[in-house]
Amino acid sequence: MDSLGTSSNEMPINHVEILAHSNDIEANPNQDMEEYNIEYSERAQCLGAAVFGAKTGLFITTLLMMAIEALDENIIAMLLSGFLGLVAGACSMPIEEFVSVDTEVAQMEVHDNKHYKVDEDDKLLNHFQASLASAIGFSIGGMVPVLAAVFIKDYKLLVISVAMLALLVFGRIGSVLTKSKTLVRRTGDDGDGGWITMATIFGFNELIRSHHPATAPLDTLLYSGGSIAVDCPRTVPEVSFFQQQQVQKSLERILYTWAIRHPASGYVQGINDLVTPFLVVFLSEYLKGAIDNWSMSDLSSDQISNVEADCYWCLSNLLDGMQDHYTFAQPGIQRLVFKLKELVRRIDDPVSSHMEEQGLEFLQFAFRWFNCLLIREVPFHLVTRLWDTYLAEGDALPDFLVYIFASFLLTWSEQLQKLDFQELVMILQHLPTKKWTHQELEMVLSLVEGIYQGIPDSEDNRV
Amino acid sequence: MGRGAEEEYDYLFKVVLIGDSGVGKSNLLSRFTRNEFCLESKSTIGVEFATRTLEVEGRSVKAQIWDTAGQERYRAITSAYYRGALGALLVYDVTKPTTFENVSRWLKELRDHADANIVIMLIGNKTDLKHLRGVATEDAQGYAEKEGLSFIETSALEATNVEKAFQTILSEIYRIISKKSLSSSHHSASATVKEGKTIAVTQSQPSTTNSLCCTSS
Repeated sequence: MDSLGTSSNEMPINHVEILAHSNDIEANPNQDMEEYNIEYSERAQCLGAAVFGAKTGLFITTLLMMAIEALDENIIAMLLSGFLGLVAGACSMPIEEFVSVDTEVAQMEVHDNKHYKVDEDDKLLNHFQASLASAIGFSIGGMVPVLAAVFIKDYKLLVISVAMLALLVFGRIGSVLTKSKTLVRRTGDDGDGGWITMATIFGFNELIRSHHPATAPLDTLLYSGGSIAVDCPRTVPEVSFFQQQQVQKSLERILYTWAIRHPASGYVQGINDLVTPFLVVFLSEYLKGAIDNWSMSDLSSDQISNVEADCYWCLSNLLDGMQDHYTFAQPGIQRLVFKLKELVRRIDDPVSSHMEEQGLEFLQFAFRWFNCLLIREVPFHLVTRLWDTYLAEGDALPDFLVYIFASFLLTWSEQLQKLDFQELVMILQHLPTKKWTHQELEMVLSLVEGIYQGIPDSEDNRV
Repeated sequence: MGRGAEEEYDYLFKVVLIGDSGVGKSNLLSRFTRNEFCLESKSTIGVEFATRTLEVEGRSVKAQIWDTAGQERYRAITSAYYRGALGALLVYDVTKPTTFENVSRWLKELRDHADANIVIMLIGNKTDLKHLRGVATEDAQGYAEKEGLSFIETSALEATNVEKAFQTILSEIYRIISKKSLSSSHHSASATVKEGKTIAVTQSQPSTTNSLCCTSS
């Protein structure tokens, strides 16, 4: 604080006063006058601390609120930061005041040749009073912008205006009290410097804002482009159960919570599919019979909350090892697609070279496989079986997916080798699995182990 | 090339469908290629693909259409498909003004990743939802004129203007192609050099063309 910076200039003044205050040693001809000065100077010290505290509170709180406002155009964040700044300042001001006065006195004691001794108790009392005064001052000053922000709609401009006005008032109070020389130090250069500072704050605020034009509220960030609300109604449309509004609302809550808790990726289309097996499994505890006859209204709201919590937890756990599948440019998926291509090249060269000849990229069909964990490629009633295998793999799942998907792809190995580019894309994007039963899926899964062990030097060359 | 395909065609045009999530890109495509519409179709993940062969200006043209995912996160994946595309259908939802506001961002995306002379058509979809309309036809028309795009409003649900939209963009591409192949037969050297980029594209996708358009983009 500038009190430390200016204190050396003001030292003689303070010195005189404190000397006067503790003047028991020498007899003074103007005793009455001195008595009067003592009283006044004591009070002035407290008042000075209070006005200085108020000005500091005003500055710091306004500065803090403007900075927060520039980064996040949100009145709540701005108010909260202002209030917290106020509390923090009101706590630290008195400590600083205490230390600074103490240091001054100590300096004077060393500096002074006249060797007076200030009454220890008296000194302590004075410091406490001054500290308290500065704390109250800071609180009052800091309240100005906070209250202004609470009551004024177009907060930014008006908070600044009110702060400037308050600064003027504080400055005036200061100058009225300048009779006491102590106050010259305390209040400093009344309003003018403050006004310049305020104008600078405002300028900074505008500058920061101009460089952050895209600071959007959380809602817009989460919902931009592909929104949870848009996707929930079109989740597994072939199963009528998912068309029930209550099911869609549950899905929405699970996904929304997940998206908020995973800001690095946020909600990515296709994650809505990944919740569905969990939802079905946890609901099957309460709802019996075929899924088409299920109704969410048979469940109490507590039961629904529990199911949602379980689904959220399982989804988080499943995706924890695959976060980079859903971050920018989806590097995790790109890496696994590349691994799949390499694996297929090793275990089935004919189909691999045919695809290459046709100019088919694995990314053109396998991207969705990894993004939705094959959920879109098999009938929904088989998905829980598939999930069973996934969950059994635990942390090794991402790499294990490559083997499952290779086995899945090679189900059509012979057929694929007869097709041209367009037919290949068409069939691989719409694989004929509609009529699949557990038998076909078991076949795919049982071949996985064979692939896993059948690769030459599989231990060293695992892709 | 295209050895498995029995059907004959004179040209093969690659076209991409782009626009915000949920504006109806996939349904425009399914209406055009299979005459199907599904009210609650799944969101598109990455890129989906369909083709249809039709008559354009007396020639048989095979349209190879790449339907892209609308969500921002898929932009890095989908923008790879803009390369080598001769046309782009930029779709917005007439009931959702934000999808129209984002059109300029999609245009920038095309200018960054697609070939410079790509034919772009702006499509306002879902005109069947008359009571929910949020984007005036005149506004979109004005914007399209300003940006030099063709413009049409469609309803994939009612099958209104879907055929016309595809016909229009394919004709436009055809006109540009035939003009170019004409001029390239006169000044072949300069034209090929200018279109060097396209050659790389046809290499990576050998079946992109079977005839005249390989020197154009």
